[in-house]
Amino acid sequence: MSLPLAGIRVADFTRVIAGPLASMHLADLGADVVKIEHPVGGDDTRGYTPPDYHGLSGAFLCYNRNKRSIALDLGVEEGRKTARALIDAADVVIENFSTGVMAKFGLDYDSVKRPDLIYCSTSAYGRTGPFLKRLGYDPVVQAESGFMSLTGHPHQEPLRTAIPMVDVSTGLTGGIGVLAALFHRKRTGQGQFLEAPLFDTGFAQTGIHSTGYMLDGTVPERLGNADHFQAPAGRYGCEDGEIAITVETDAQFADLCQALGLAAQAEWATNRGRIENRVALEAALASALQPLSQLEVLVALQAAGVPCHEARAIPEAFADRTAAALLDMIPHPDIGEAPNMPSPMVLHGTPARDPVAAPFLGRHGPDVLAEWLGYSAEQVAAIRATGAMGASGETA
Amino acid sequence: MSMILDGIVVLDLTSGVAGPAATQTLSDLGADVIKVEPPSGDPVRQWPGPRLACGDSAAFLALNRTKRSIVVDLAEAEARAAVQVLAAKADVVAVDSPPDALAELGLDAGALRRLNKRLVYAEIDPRLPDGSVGRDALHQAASGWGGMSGLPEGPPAKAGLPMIELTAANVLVQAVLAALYAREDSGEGQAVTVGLFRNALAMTYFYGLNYRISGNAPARHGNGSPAAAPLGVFQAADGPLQMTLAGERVWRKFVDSIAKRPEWLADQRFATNSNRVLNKEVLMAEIDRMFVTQPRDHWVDAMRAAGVPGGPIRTIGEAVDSPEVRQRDLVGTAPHSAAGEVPVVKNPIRFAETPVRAARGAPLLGEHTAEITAEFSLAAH
Repeated sequence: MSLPLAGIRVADFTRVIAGPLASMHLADLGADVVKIEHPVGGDDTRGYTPPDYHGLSGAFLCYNRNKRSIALDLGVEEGRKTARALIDAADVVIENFSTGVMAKFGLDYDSVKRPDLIYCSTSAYGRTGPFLKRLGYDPVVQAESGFMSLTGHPHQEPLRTAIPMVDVSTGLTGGIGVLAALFHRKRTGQGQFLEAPLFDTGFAQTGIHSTGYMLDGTVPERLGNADHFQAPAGRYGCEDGEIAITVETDAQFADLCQALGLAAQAEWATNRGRIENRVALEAALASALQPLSQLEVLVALQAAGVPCHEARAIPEAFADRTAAALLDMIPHPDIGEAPNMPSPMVLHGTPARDPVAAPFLGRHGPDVLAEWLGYSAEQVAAIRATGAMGASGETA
Repeated sequence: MSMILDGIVVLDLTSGVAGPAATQTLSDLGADVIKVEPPSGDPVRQWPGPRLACGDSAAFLALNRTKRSIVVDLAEAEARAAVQVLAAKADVVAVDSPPDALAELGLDAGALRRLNKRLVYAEIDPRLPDGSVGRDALHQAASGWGGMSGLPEGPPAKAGLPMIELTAANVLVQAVLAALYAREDSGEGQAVTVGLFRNALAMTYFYGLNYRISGNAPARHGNGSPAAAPLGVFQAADGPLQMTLAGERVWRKFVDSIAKRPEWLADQRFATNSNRVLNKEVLMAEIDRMFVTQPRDHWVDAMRAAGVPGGPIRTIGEAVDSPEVRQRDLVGTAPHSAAGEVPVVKNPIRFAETPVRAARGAPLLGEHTAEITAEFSLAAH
């Protein structure tokens, strides 16, 4: 069996996080993803240093695995013509420019559409409607969508997540959109335009709370490391470290009390009672755990079948054997190898792609132009002479 | 117009968040999702907070729209046989129990794929590194993900939404779609897995990768950044707002068109980004003194007009009632067999040719048991 998306060509005009994550998952699944980058600097995330690994930033490495890079200046006519030729040779186009940018280059859907083309815009607030011109940023959407109001500790300021999770979710929904459209095309021959806007995705993921607000006006507060739906839940200090506990059932709560010698009050018997009396319950649990060692708590709670785990910072988490086995080095064509973050999905029936780390800017220009468009070395040189591939030529 | 997953039958053995969120998206794309529940139902039905008169929670509505529900007691051998009959006819089976538990029930990938070689077996693996089972928050804790967000001087804070499970759901949908795509040519399904721990680890992204490159443990920066200022949370007269000024261009726009304090451009303390980082506290206090004189909308409108990234920090209620949600048509109602109609948050993907399905409300427990029993001739088995 071949890779699921073997033979699918993706012309990838995306930058930063959401779009590149979408196209990386397509690349992981076997698509030939060609990343079209500005010759000066390329994707913004290339500059997210320090630190760097032989000139490649962590952010660039983690969203651009298994892609090839071509440097094209879309401000130059020959650059636009070459980009258009790549689109005409592609099965899928993905872009996440501000509204109007692809149109300015003559590369928007209406300009390039054909019946079998799949074109995905990872826009900010949609390519239509009153907000189409507004720029999109993860922290702004975390704020506007209500997500940020839920993150952080009570009586402290709301927090955005360290990783831009609205960007991440948008990359995942964009990837779903393209895969669904490919499936539809497989069955019908029909391509289409689709979009997975940043704001729409950020808001949609609040569904478990926004549905409740629409039902009865309840506005949830932020709860730190506690949970809106289950109690007790959180990160608790022990004598020598932290432990995370999530009690999911009444039976588990009874077992927790027994394991820790915690005197349970009658109103704590049900989850609803524990939620209503959360503050007193959490305080009692915290003081029961404080004098104990992390290890004795883990042993006692695991024996009792209460869901728990050491709460770790990145260094301890990555030293864990299970984690370390997933945090591999993968080959890189120019620097031997580079550190990789694992793909979160495993397909057991189709082969996994032999991974290749993210490329240097413009590394594959001539290869791509030869393979996708049949251009000779002379034709590539002629394009290069126009400045469309950058003033000083390609880095490789 | 047809839907993308028209004719695809999904047998959904999951509960909680990740599995149901994944199968809900498959349902939005047109699949017929049959939710198999124990007699006590998916525990999310009982979650506290807003609920319908029939007892089902808002969270359950938000994770199970349009599905059909059949009650099956997997403790009974006959009932397990019925599930196998369904699996033999399904295109996708979704599970979220640990593999050994599923094997004991005869519902592991091997057993079900022997009955149906076209089956896509979609698995959320809930195991923590030590082999025990945990949901979102425990994976945040075990992977280090949950320690990355928070104020520099305070304790870490996990994401306010179950982001490890919600992203795992989306990844699982991708894997299922890839497997269905491959099946069009090969005629064969396959098992696909998204491990919650593996997903949490992957989601540390550049925090994790930068640590591996530099050996320096990542610090918590709250809403700020060690590399740029001013940015983060500010207080306007009527509520908090978020503003991100990274770089000289937006800083000048901010000073000229929003703060209208041209003297700041000449002020040595604020002359460069690195000086602003150095004098962050003075500068943030100045901005707060200014922002608190006007309501949030005043400043946010000015930011949008000037192209400065920023927005109101809304409560969930303010977000639902916002012009963006209304104009983008992101919420609506769906018919529900007990409540008449219920609110829904719509799927965010917009397809030009194959719109996502208009939702039905989440099913009552066992609402479709008789219907599905007849449709798949389960009584005969």
